[in-house]
Amino acid sequence: MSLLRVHDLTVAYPAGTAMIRAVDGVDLDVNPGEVVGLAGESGCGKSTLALAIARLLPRGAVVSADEMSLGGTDLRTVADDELRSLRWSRLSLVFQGAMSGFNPVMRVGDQIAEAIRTHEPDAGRREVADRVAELLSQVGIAPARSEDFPHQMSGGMKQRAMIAMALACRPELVIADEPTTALDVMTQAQILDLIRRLADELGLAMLIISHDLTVLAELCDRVAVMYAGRIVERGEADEIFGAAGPAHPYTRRLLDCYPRLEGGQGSISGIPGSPPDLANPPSGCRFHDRCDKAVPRCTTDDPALQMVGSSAGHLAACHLLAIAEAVSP
Amino acid sequence: MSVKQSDAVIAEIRDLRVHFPVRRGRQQLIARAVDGIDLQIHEGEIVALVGESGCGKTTVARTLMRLQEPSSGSVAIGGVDITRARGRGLRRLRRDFQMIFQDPFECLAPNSTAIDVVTEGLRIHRGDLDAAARRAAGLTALEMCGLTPAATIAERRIFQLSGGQRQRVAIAAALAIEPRLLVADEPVSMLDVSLRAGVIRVLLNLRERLGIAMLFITHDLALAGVFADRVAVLYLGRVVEQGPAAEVIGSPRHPYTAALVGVMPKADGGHRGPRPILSGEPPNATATVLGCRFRPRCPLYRQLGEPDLCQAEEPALPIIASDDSADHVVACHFSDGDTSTTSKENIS
Repeated sequence: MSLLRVHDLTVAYPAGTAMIRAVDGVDLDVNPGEVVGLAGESGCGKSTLALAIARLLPRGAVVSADEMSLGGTDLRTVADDELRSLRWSRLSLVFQGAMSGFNPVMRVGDQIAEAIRTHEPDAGRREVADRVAELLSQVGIAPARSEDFPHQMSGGMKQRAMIAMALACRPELVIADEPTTALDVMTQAQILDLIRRLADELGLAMLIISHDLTVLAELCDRVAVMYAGRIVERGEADEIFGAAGPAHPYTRRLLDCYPRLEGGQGSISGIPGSPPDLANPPSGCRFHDRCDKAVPRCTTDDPALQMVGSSAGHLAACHLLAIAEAVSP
Repeated sequence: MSVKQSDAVIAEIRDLRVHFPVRRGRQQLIARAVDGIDLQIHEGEIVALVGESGCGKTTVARTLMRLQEPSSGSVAIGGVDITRARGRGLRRLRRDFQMIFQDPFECLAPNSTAIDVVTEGLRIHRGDLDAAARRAAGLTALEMCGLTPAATIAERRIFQLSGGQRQRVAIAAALAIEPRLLVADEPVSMLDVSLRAGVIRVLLNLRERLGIAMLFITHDLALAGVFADRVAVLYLGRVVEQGPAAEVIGSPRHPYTAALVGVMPKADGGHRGPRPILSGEPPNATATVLGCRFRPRCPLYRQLGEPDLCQAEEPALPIIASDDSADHVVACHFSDGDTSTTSKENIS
């Protein structure tokens, strides 16, 4: 059974008299030990989805879901005091720009210790110190560096310390929002390896949010791609990024945006237009005005997620799938 | 357009050093941000500068823009040494070189209109034009950057524009005064990947139509490989490898370049095997390393049993003849020769 279960989640923000649906009917499951990636352009709702799961949405946001639970606890109705103990000890978050997440005038080790002490007030001094040392070495930082202030660490090291902090209370699920975005390629590779290792060794479930499909392709077991508040494709990473490639034209176009060396300058391509205004979403498929494969039906009918070929785990929301099937049974 | 050997050199950097004093407690240290760089950019050529943060990429760009005084060495643009220019003479020279910055949300005044931004440079550099002529030139620049209809976009204020549009306005502003060299410091890294191609196409188009030379600073190696003509890889203030872009990224010869290329995330996924991640922290420009400065992190050095030569002597980058930009050179004692085949297998 999945650790995190989200079914038909909708998050709407009030804007004047209208409501903007930043997340619109999304299903998402994460199993223990599994790394799931959530991809999409800015404004597609991926961060809103993460905040909704952690119950961190700003006041005014309206959440509705058929189901939203973590290991059996209903996240929709959980009371405030229970929520406080749930965060960190069962669910923790790593935000983008961890460089600025630490208190600059407090030693890094003390900040990690604070998180442990808040949630386990009975833990002894010694025990907490040992735990901080263990956490830091888990992410490849020498325990002696716990005496450092944040400015004494490099960006990549701070990001690793942030991950160590997220693990402080041994959570079951870690949600990381753009964990490598501001980092160098080499530091990014170190963080990606670290995340993968933690999932494999500790059986941690992870939800990684990123605009970078290539990062998710390397890191994740399963990937979901969002567009304009909806999941348009999801499946095993090996299938989506494998030989057959993505089934949804949006995922394919997004993947084509990464230049290929052998393709030369001709391989530099983008997606014309911009994501739709969610206050006023287009009729039919939300991607139809940017899609070069659109057929008349795309402008009127909203496609539902459907199976790609015979693989039960790979779904895409595109009319062309049904058409392709009808043509070649 | 490919760069012909006959194309004139627009920018020439010679033995450039930029050192910054750094205080660490009572200690007075020197950060050697740029430590002996030679680089040439020809007319109509796109040169990409790649490397980790702190390797000196941005310092080279700022020195080229004369926003930073070099400690020693010379920077010539169009044959004139800009490091000695002052006052009015410098202002005249600035017409020839313009820069685009990384963050289009920070580098433009949010409340000015697009046409204000684009014509500001013309007001300074083109006193000979009247307001109408400046506006016409500004509109042409906006149009060239794909901001159409230019007359409508011109009246928009910066805060009303999207990130991709803002970056195009920044490019239009730089190109309105018809510079010979454009320096672009990570111009697309803040943009959504779907919008990057639009900006890159604008830059390619400008080179094609106006023959503008470009120094393109990026940490995206794949992009450098397809967009640039030539790539220079920087490590701790020095060029360690330089050559035709597709060659340097496609078959790197320096162990550092090989490592960077090796960890590049690839869209086809599936390679979850061990990757050649460099151990150690990103380099520190205040520390002095004897011999090769990449030695402490170099996989090839360890694999060859820590040869004395790497500790004793800093490898020099062979000088490229000024009329041959097709040369592929590398500053490593052991990158070529009989060890190269075995080493590459293990690195990649």
